[in-house]
Amino acid sequence: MSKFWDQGVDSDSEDDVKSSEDADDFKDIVTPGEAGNKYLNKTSDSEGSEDEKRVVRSAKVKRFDEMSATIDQIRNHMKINDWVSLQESFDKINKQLEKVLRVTETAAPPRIYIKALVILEDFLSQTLGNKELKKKMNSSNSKAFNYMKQKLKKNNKIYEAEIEQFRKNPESEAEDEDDEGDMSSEESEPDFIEEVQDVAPVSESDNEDGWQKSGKGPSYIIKKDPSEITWDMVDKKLKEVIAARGRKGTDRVEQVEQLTYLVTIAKTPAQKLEILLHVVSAHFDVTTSLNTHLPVNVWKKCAHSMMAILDILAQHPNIVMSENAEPESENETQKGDDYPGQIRVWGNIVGFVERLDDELFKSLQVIDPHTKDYVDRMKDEPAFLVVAQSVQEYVERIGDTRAAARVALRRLEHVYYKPQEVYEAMRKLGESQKTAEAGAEDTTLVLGTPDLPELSRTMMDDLITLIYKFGDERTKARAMLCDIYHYAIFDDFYTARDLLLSSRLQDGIMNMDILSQILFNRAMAQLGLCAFRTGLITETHACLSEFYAGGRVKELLAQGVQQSRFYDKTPEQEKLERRRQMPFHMHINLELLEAVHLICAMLLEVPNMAANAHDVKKKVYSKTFRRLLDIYEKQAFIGPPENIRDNIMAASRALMKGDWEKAVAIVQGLDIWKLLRKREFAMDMLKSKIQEEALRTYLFTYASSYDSLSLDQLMAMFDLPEGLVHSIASRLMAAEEFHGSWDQPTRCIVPHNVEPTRLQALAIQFVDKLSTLVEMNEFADNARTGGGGGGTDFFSRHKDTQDYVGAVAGKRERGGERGGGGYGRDKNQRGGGERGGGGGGGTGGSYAAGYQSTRYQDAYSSVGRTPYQSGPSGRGGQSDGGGRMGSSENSGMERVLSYGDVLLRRRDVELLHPPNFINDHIIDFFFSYLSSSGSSDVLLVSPSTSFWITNCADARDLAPALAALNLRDRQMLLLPINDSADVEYRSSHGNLERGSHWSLLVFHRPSNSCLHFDSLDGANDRYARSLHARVSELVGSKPRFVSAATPQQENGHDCGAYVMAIAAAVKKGFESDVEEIVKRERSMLILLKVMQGVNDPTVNSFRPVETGQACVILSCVVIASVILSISQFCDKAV
Amino acid sequence: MAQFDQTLKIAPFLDRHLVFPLLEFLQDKGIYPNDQILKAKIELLAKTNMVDYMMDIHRSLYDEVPKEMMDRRAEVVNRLKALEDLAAPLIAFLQNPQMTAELKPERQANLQMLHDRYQIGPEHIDALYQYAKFQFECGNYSGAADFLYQYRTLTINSEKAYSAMWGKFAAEILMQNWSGAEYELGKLKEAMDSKNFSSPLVQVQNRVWLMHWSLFVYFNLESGRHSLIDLFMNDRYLHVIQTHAHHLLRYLAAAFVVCKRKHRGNIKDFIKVIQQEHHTYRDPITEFLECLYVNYDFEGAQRKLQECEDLILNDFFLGRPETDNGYIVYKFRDEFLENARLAMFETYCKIHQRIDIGMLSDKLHMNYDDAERWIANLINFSRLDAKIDSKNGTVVMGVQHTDVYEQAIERTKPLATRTYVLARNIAENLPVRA
Repeated sequence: MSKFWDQGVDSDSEDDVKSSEDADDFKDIVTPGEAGNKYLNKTSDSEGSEDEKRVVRSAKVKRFDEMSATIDQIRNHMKINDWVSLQESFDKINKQLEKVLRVTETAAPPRIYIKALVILEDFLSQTLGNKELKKKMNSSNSKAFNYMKQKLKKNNKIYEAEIEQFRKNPESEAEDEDDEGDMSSEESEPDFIEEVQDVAPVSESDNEDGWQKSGKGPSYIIKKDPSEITWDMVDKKLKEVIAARGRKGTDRVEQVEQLTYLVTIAKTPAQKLEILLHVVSAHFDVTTSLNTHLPVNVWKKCAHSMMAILDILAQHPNIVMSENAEPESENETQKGDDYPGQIRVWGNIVGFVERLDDELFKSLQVIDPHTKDYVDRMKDEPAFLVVAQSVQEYVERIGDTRAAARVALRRLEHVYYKPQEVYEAMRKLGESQKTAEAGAEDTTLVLGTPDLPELSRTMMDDLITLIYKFGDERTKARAMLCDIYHYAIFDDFYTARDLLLSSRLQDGIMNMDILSQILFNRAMAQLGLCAFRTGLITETHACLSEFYAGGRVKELLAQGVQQSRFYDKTPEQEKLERRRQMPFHMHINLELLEAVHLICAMLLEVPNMAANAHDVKKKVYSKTFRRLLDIYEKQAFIGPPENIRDNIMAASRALMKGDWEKAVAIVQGLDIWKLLRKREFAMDMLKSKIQEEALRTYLFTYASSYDSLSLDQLMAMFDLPEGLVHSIASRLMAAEEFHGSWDQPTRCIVPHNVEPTRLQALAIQFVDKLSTLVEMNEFADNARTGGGGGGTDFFSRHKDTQDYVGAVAGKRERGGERGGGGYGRDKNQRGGGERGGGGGGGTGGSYAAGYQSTRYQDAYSSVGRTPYQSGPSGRGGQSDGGGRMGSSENSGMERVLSYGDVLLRRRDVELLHPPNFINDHIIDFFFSYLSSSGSSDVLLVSPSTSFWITNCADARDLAPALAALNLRDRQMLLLPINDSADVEYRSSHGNLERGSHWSLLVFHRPSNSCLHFDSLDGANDRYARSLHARVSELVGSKPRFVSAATPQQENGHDCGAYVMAIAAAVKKGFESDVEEIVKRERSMLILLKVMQGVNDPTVNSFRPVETGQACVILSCVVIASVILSISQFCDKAV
Repeated sequence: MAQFDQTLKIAPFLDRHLVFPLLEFLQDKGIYPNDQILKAKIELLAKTNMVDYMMDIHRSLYDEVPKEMMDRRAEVVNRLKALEDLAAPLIAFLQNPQMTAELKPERQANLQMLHDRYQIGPEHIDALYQYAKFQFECGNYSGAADFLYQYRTLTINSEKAYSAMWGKFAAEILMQNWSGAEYELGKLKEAMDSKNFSSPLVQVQNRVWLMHWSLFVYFNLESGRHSLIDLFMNDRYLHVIQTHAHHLLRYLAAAFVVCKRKHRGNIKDFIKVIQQEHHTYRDPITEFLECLYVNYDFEGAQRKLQECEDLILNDFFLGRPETDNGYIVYKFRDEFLENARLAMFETYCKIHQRIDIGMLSDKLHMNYDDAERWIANLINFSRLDAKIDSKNGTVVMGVQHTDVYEQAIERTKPLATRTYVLARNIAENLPVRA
């Protein structure tokens, strides 16, 4: 950030220097007739600018000093023939060059830089000649040497001419050598002029009489009386200037000046137009990076130039600008004012408008919204609208409707998010700018008044009609979204909703670009707020709930970058995201959004919870709300609510008890409402909604305690009119949510109280058990026959019953979510589900409650080691290679080997062949093999358990669940880590079970440290750290986290093998000599390589094998033999 | 009652000729001043060829016939003649039963045959279409219908065949040949679903037209209301209603009230639609449904029902008078009211345990004894699970709960089959493994 500001300040000061000149230039554009006088002015101007240059001289001197210091370094490095450092210095000097060029505002590199190049070149060729020297260099040095050879060659090509000149004239070098710092500015100027010649040496020779080379400032280009300048001369010069565009070392600012000058001397309107077009592009070139914005004054100049272009186009209707016009088509622009036919000029004014808009947008993104700068910048918006409007008129005039639609969209996007008041303010601003035109030319950009109708709706309608008629798909979709947004702001919910529904945008939005998706999200958020203001709770919730499901509101609305707990973003991602951010004035208040969302969730969820308190298959409206409420209720002490969330939770609790008065008081007391329009209405609406929901909740919760409930009493309790109470209660009865009926003569509700008797409940339970039994039988058979037996009819039936079994499982598991979340998706998953349902009864299935997919249960049950743990794991990610899975499905289920309670299937074993990943079953198998011998101090945790520990949502569940493992008594824990991404991410993307890398975390109690062995360094770091955090809680001490040096894998699929090998080595190592482990890490590489049969000569360069390593070798041999025996077994089985 | 009149909303989606019956109906009802309607008729006729009729109306309005009408008449007659001449060879062929007997089911062969033996080429066939259209414009619907039918069997121009279908459909409606019209409707719908439209908008327009035209058919056929619900509740058509023709909700709602029993499942969806569109469209019928099924506001429903009656009588499609033994009866109205009352009563019973018969008879506009008899009848035909407590003057509802034991039986039922399948699977697999 600071870097950015530095630059910003730099360029600003520069621009200030130039602005006086440029202002003159614009007068030139407006009055082309006075070119002669102007020319005189010009010269005096340029003198003036020379004076000003001296002001920045100190900075210049500094830069030159830096540069010469670097050159000294280079010399020193040469003496000791250190190419590595040379390379660094070279890069450094190139960077410094850029800075110098910026300060001096020239395109030519300073002499001192050229000198450095010459020195380097000489030294390079000298070294190249000297074979002996070259031989002596070590590898890194020679690498750097080769690098330099190429780089220098490339670099020097650019400065070929200068270098030659320098070589011709080494005397001056000798003179300057003593005080390089001082030679700076004076020196650079003559150089610079020569440089300009060099840019176009050919034309120079052709035209020797026409061109002169002296003077300063842009006017030097054509040193001639303006009256003598011909079209050809200007054209030629223009070509030269633009030929330099984009080249390295071309000073962009300088180029702009040159072009601006050319504008003043242009001969025909067409030519002037052509040059102006180049001026605009050159302006845009000033910033190259996508992340920085165009300086404000450059932006304004751009806007001015574009207006000038449009003026020309308006005055000369015979000039046609199109992208199809051949840029090379000769002499089109020579045709003068009176030329009767069409004059074609190459250019894309629409592109310019879009760029201009983008730059405005970018600058608003970057400027701190709490400063005056931001406000000032906002004032340029009407100016942009003027430009856009004129351009749109122009393209409509020439009949390019498609382009018109594009421009219209740009205008639209400046209007759609503005409520009427803001729009009015902008309109007034536009008008006041017009009146103030005379005075304030410098501070605000005045181009005329945008033609803004009184109501923003009118403008929206005009633009949208145009876009619908002519725009392409994306433009239309965006316009539609803007329209929806605008309607939502204006509280026209139904129109907005119907637009959204009839456009069917929500179906296709996932396939659109991210910016449009953001716009869609914004429209949805606004629609939600609008629905809330209209009093439609369900609709509001439908609009907003998705934002809060993943906890990524900020990201979805592009209103700030959210740090995810689960994964870090790469810098590139972050940059991209920053580029998408909305400027502050377009933000939707997130607190308001959250409050509205939570209140709606409360109004829906609280009665729902009351209604289904004892139901297993309950419907959940808002998981987010449930979770928050859970957290809130689990707090040991509930303090007075502070933030919005707490407040609403407190209100929810009151509502759950039917205490609507308190709930209303809390909700209405929120500060945030002052940001809501139609506040009074909303407050009244909230009150009546809360009353209604309180009544419903009350009926659900307490009806069972009554024999009859009098209507009058309910009316009094909830302060509701008779009709409403009757209607609410009747609705509940009719929908059979509430079992009861009216007794009309006595005006009472009679609850039916249809709770089952004990015998009935037991009967139902018994039925449940029976079905589970059948279910399990089917699984057992399925597992045995490899899924082939039942075939499809079994499969489909299974699906039918899944809800049911899930429900049973869920019931047992403290009302968690349905056990079989992803159940029946494929055969693997079924294995998992079975355990969830059947085996979960073991040690205490309750801990599996509340997670999102089968696999936690899966993971959990492997702790208890139930007898059903024979199905392959749910984590097929590493193993399921798409089609492979289908073909080997039947045969792959055969049992190959069972060891203890781990069972290997054919398909697991097949994974051992090289290009496959190893799955958790193999690791599990190997771990139980390892743990079959040795002390109980070491615990090898199975992969699924380890995964569960890492990813389970609530750490508090862990400790009791893992009690059986006696973690606190163990001296060492080995935990495999898999990088299958975080739970929420996966479940929301529907792609489950996709891990791709294994690593190993070892907790070592004697040294109180957690060693992370990762065969792809750092790849699993994040997962390791989260596991480390969990483990720290479990083991009771606070181990430090160490990224242990680990042998690195050579291919993409060996991580699993490494994990096993390392685990074996560590275990053996621990049992023989505890202290040795850390020391031995590196040498294990050799063994692993030996095991893999890799012959790498570099292996020999490591330290000799230490004592105690025999055991490591042994362990590797063990692995090898196990693998071997398994594969032999397979072969036999085949 | 003009506020509920939808003629203006419906007319844009109808053929000119189809609007006539609507105007005539309005004229009878006298909702609008007579001369306004007559003027509307003239305007309507101006673009058709029914010049004589137009002149009649004009005469009745202004007692004179303007010259341009006379001119137009001559022009129409001339044009008719010209078209007739053009299409004459083909018409001659078609009117000869012997010749038409030679036509085979194969279109290409027919065309070839016509061309070879009778020198009837594509231009004649096209002329037939023009002629038929002209006939239609002149009000000769039966002729037009015949020609269009024949044209369709001969033409290879699918666009024109499609519009010939519309023409035939309109002609059938205007001839009040309802079963024929229903047949055409079905064919048209099929054609529409398989046709490629130039833009989605055109497709939507076509659907809107179809639905409007179908009103003529469905409210005149005995089982029409069911078909109407089937058609309108189709997702595609429902979507069109919701976006382009909200006023059709009235007819859908009316149909639902009348045949509620058969469409119990659909009615919930429909209520949702009504709620969704509440802000754009509502009339007494939809509001009645809302009162009954959303708010359970029986008083409100009662009020709405009265409004419904007026509305029905003033609606062309719903309130068409029929003569029965010399009396004018409004069949649909009676049916509607009867069913609406029943629906109210059912819903009322559903949420009540005990109801006072006196109150009930008030609400149902019956006297006490009639109400008791009516309820007793309902109980007898087991449409209502209740008992009358005549001492207290109340109806006591029977309470229904799903029996837990039934549930248990229900759930264990499939287990036997599953076990059987399982056992069979094992048995099947045994030899393989051995």
